[in-house]
Amino acid sequence: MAELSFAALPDHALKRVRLGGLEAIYHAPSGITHLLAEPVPDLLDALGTIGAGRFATPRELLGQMAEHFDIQGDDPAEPPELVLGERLAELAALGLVESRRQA
Amino acid sequence: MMDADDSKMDGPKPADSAEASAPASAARRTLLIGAVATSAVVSIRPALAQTAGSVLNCKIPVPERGKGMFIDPAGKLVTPDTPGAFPPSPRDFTGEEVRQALQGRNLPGTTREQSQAYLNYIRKLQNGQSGFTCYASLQMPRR
Repeated sequence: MAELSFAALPDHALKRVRLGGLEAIYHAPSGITHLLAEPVPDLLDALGTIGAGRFATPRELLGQMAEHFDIQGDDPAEPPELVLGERLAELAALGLVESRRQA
Repeated sequence: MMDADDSKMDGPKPADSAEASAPASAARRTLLIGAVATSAVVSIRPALAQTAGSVLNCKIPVPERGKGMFIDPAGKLVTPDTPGAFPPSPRDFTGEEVRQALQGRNLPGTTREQSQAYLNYIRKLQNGQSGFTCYASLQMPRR
């Protein structure tokens, strides 16, 4: 888990529409629309800032996001990069981000 | 990229430890990344007819072409002389065939053991390998 890194999909793969507190995200390759709440849109934004196809570890992403956000998990004892990695792995399972093992 | 109301204000204010109850005027937003936060995921699948072009008909080769490798029961690529290994599938499987196989059916034209070996191979597909995107598109959200 710890050695996974993640990257945004190319721009054309996702169509995103804000719906108040939610975001509807159409995943073009599968034709599935996901309704997602915070923090998912912000995670996708952060990965998008790094650039499509450019892989970052949860720790690197956390450093980038910490410029804009206070990051908070369920349990203060859990390392935030671990929690962030879990969220990103869930997004990868949905196909909304790419993941790969660190080379 | 960010269009949340307050995310544009990213001034270097000191990070306070306020929880989600931070006032709207706070320059920094607290992002909750705990497991509870993303449990509110809803996936809307299009009607069957509309998926035809993507999930149902996308192709997964078993294994990738041109390697001359066999597949052992655990789904690993092995040399053709490996006992108990299965030859490559003569044709690609469609997303729909794999979806049905994941629900317990055999892949078309395969024995039970062969189908399981092929499925084990498909489950191990990584990004960048042929068929990965197709397989990823079949994934159901886990919660």
